[in-house]
Amino acid sequence: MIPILAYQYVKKRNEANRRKMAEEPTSNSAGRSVMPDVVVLRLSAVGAKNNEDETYVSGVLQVVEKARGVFIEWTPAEDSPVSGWVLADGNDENALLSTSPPQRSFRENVNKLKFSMDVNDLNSFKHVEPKKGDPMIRLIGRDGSSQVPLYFRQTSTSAFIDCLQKYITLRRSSKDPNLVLVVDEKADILAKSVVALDNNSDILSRFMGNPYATAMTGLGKITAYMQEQVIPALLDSDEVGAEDKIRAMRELRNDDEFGDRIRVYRGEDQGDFEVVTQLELPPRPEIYRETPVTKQIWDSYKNPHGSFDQRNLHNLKMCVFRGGVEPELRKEAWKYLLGYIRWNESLAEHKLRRQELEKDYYRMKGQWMSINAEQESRFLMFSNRKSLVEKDVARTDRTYKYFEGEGNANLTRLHDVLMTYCMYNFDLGYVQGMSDFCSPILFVLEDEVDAFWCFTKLMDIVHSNFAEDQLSIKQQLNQLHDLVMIVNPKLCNYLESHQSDDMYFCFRWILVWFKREFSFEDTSKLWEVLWTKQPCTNFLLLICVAILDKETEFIIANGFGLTEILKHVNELSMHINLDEVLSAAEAIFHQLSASQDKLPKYVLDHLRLSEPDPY
Amino acid sequence: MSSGPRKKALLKVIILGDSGVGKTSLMNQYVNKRFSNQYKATIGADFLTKDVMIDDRLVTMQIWDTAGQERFQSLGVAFYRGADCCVLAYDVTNSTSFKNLDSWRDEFLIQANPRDPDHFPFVLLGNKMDLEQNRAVSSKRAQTWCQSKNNIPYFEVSAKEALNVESAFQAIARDALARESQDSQDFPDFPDQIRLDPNQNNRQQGGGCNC
Ligand SMILES: Nc1nc2c(ncn2[C@@H]2O[C@H](COP(=O)(O)OP(=O)(O)O)[C@@H](O)[C@H]2O)c(=O)[nH]1
Ligand SMILES: [Mg+2]
Repeated sequence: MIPILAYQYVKKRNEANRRKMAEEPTSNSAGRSVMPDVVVLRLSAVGAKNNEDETYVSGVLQVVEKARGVFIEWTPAEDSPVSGWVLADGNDENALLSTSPPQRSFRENVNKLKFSMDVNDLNSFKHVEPKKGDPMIRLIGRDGSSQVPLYFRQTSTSAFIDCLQKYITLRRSSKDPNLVLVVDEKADILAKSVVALDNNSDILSRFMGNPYATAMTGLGKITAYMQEQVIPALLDSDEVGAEDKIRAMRELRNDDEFGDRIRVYRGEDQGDFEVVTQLELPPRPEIYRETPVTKQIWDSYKNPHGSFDQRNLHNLKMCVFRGGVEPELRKEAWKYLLGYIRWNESLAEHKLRRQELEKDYYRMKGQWMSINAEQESRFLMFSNRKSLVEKDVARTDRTYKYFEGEGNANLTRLHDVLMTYCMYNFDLGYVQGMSDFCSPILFVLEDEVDAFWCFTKLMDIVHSNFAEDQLSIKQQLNQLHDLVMIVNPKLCNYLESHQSDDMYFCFRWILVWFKREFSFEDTSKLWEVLWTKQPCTNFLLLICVAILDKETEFIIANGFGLTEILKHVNELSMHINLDEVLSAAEAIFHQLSASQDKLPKYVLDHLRLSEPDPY
Repeated sequence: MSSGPRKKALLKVIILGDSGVGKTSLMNQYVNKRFSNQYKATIGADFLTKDVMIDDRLVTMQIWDTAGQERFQSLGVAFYRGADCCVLAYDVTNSTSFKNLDSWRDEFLIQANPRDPDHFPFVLLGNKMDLEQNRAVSSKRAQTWCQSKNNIPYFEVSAKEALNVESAFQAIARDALARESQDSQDFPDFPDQIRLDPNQNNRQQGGGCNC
């Protein structure tokens, strides 16, 4: 274990000692013989993909034996930039929203991609060999983090994989053919001894029988260990006969994963479980997304005075739901979708009402602007809010052209809208995350007054996310849990046995409606889809379910626990295909909707399936 | 060949402090040696890991970063559990962030519920020392506070200029390592030894199921 010396050291800690520690941590400590690093593999045509701007950077992949262990290292080639790589990016949004900040040099950007990873920290890697194009490997760490994807340009990946196998044991996942797992040798040994136990497998049944109860004790760890390491190893071991395998499997797999029962965890009451017969959901239908609504289509729904006919509204909303709207149409469409302009209001009526709203905006803006420093010194709440707004505006979407650079007028407007909202809603004020909701609104609406009022409408929908007690967020996370239990009980049980069933790792998704997970353009599309409130009011939760559903095998095959799941989910940011997810979420909706009569009522309530169209 | 699969100790470190004091910047400066004034405000929780040598021992530091606004603290406290060291951070140009240190410390002790709260390792970082001209909290004042809390080590740092960050985190790692060694004597890692302790686990939600 750890030398007791270290503990004593802290007991008599003093400044002099501390200064000594400032040495570079990676350098060899004094007294140790310095061994030269040995490069055992060097592949000079391995490119990395920079996800920020979807460019490829050529570089060198090495496996290096060092005194501290064996490292997999990728460094950009000296002569990059980009070195003639074709950019496989069909997205045009970057033309509009430059994601590369001007002040950061290209070299800096490229150097950010380089990494060095201890082979002992490797948990698995994604390995994709497309029929056409370069094979790709993406290394996944034990902490759940993913390295940049590496593309093998003129070489196959086999030299690299063969080299790795000198140090670690690899096994292709039986569930995900694109995933190669690092097998823990300890697990292999244990698996063999488990088989040797033969008839004593009741010990294991006890571990496996009730994952929830065992998770409540220190045994939770073992349950997870069995599920992730022992069982797969058992199944793959050649030394075990087929019959034994089947028997072992039957005994080891718990009812919850393969049996006919699911347990549904309800609300905050501890230990209140309801046993429900597992639903056989109908097959997931194939859903195709449609093209965005154009100005022409949009206008075809309008009356001569500019109002919308109530009878056709549902159709229009379905069109928006299926494809979003074209970027040029957003400025107009968002005003309606958010309820800033009423559907049945003529343009003349709105123009009149807007005059009042404009006055009202400047009245409230004048209120906070007139508070001087001296007043502020006796108004702590105001001063706290103000500094919070200032801090957050300064770090909201600064990599987008619209908010780039110092002294940008759009930053001032973002600041002013948020400060004025504090005057509009004193009780709520400013809470972190609100600037994330406000920035796309300002970008799309451009006009400060329109942006403010649209923002208030959006806040009407999401204000409870920011409440002091956070009850709404907790409730939504619980609802998400219930939905996952219905749609994907296997994942749900896995999360339970890995202390993750509070779904906290989805907190950011729900708090700011995926603002941090998608580009500006995709976020805009997602939000307008959600604002239609089609096909149910809580479609956001189904999007969460769809993403988690897609990650299920990856999470389970990697054996991720509480922290690794959080890391993995955080790193999905900017790696999620929006249209794919929207299709999947809609398909799941149809599955659930077709099973309405069999679903527990609270699940229907979660989706608010029964709620009539609010418009 | 590999130096063998000697298990690295994992040190879990939590950084707490008001929003905007520079927690995210400090973590990134230490782990990635980078500063950017384009970091977004943290939502939820995240962590970075870094391998460091402490007295010839290779350890993995897992540094946790959280959102600073109090209302978001009630969720995600599960991640405080098992912390080996808590880093309190304030902004030397902002006296409110200094005044709030007490409540951050108390909050941590309540949520993480360490067994020996009086001796749990804390480290205080006064960030943004590059803005000396705007200083609002004197070093003296911060040191006095640290003394009153059982001699918490204090460092003034700058995530922006990379001043003292390395040495501060080295000290943090040492404190955490000491803590970890204490702990792992009580709760050795499976499969070295299996230990059943029904009192060990008391998650904030869903605990106490007696089915
Ligand atoms: N001058 C200066 N600014 C800093 C320093 N560290 C952080 N900042 C800035 O302070 C703001 C908040 O930093 P951040 O790391 O996001 O704080 P957090 O909310 O505590 O995570 C950002 O605008 C940073 O650029 C520092 O050492 N010096
Ligand atoms: Mg932060």
